Amino acid sequence: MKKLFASLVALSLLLVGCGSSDDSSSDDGYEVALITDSGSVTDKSFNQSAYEAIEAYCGDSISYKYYAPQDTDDDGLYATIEQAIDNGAKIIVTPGFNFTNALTEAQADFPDVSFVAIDQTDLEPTENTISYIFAENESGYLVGYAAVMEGYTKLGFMGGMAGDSVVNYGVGFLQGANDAAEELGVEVTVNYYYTGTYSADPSIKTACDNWYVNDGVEIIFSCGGAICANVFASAEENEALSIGVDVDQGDESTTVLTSALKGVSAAVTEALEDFYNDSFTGGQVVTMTGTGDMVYSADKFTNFTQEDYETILSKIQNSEIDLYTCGDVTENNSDPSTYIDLPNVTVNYQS
Amino acid sequence: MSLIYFLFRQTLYFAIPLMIVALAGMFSERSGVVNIALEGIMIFGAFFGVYFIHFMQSSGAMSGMLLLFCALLVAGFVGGIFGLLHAFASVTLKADQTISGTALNMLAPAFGLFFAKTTLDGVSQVLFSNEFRIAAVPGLSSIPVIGDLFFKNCYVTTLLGIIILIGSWFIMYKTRFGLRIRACGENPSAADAAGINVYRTRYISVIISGILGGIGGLIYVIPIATEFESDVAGYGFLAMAVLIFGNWKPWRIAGAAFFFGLMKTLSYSYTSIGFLNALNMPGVVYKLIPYVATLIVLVITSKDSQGPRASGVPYDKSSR
Repeated sequence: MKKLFASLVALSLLLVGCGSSDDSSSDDGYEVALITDSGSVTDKSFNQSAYEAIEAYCGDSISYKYYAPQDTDDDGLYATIEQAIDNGAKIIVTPGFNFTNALTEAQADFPDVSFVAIDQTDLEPTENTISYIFAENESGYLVGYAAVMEGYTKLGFMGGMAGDSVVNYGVGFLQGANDAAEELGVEVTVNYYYTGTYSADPSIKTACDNWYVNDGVEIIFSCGGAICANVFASAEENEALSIGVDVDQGDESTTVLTSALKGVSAAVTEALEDFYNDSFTGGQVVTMTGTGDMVYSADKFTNFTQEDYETILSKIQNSEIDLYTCGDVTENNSDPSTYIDLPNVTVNYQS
Repeated sequence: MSLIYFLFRQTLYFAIPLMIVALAGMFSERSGVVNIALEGIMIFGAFFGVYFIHFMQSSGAMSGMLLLFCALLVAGFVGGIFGLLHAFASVTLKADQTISGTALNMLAPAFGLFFAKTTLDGVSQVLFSNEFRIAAVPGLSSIPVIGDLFFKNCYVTTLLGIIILIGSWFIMYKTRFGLRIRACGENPSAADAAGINVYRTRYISVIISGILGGIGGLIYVIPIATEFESDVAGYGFLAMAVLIFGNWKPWRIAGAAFFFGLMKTLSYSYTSIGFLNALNMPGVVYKLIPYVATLIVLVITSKDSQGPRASGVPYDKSSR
């Protein structure tokens, strides 16, 4: 019995070994590589947007491939970068802040390879790396504006960890709500909370339930990855509304009025264009501005018309509005309304 | 008054799964097998329960209460199988039970993510829609107070939790089998000498533990999310704290689970409770309360609080 068990274990190890060696085999090499972090290329988020941009740009003319690391710690990500380079990658796209450490090493170790960092606010890019960060306040502004123009006056902001991206969305949301409230001449309250996590937790649903039921909040902006599962569940239970983030989350819940979008694909496309036109200039951090957008679908909005949407969108994309950023908020993990001027918005900040 | 109903309902979301999973731990530990794998069992049960719901909903083969009951059966079944792994390692192979449990805890989320990604086209979140909430039970919901507390916006799983509680108490204290479980957890050598098959009793207890843990996992996830990504946010470990807080006894476990649930609820809804909000304390204080209270209660009750004597010790006939 024990021998049988031992031989089964040995056999399974052999099989597992075979499986993974298949994975890394390649023939001619792939010039463009995308390395996903914890998500996959069908994660309806960063990885998917980046991969679709690569697919669209490369088409049949340029070879491309995506790699899904087995381990998403620094070593695992670094090893996958190496693997991509072994397979002939000339330009590597790495979406997500998880890559910061691995990329810091890799960009120094492989100076001949170009890297595109997406949303890595702490990365210091070297000559061969271009780092894209995003003006999330633009799309945050749009959804805040849209929600108030639609007629909602009690809003909620459920953020993840109070990092630059989330704070950017938050201040944008507040400012958008404020500007719309000024236009309409109404007063708006926003319940504002940073959960301190990007993972789902039942207490987040309790917090949302509390807002919907006891505070009369009508719509909550879910701004922190997987916490949307709890926000959407709460919205469904209380027959209220929610706002998605980063990508169109409309198909995850019927309560999603709109989603604030992050221009990941625009950044990837720009980087690839520059690379193949020999105008790739590394060593810089590019903030994608004027690309903020939200999901507008006419059957979800009644008061906020397509025209209103296009007017405000063009103002945002032409940078006609002076937007606050996370830079205006001195202490990220605190009430943003103490730093910025919001005459028509009352922020109920919860610590 | 509506605030009290709100708090009560929220408390149930936390308390019922915590209680069921802590009772799961009770069966295992009272038979002498430490079950640190509760977190993993919850994830495993919840994953397959949600996975089942996902496919039944997308194919339209089943819906409503029938689907919920089948999903609970699935969750209990896979939980039981997962418990069987723990029983095999810790009873038959006499492995260190803590290490076996830890291994299972690491296996469960990894397996769930792997399984989801390979079968759902690379997506690790399993989507489901919660169609199991009962807005108002006809008739019963119009009873004053009780109707508002129990029969509005409720789940059948609350009732199931209460049945499991009573059933656990009955099995543990009113049946021969329960006595055997307790004997095996206190002094397996004596139990063996009295003619009880210690291995078999422990096997059955750990499998029961797995079944309840799996069911608890599914009950945990249904009301609080719209998708499941092989993560129960540490509630399996919290259930172990409830188990210890509850002194390995069913009614005390239920009390402890409700205390934890209430404190969790308060810490996220204190802003709506006039006098708590007026205290103007930082929210962190409320989040600390359940844990500080656990420590205090443990300090006060530690004299009478005793786990099963043989818990964590693999039984070896030859060492008798």
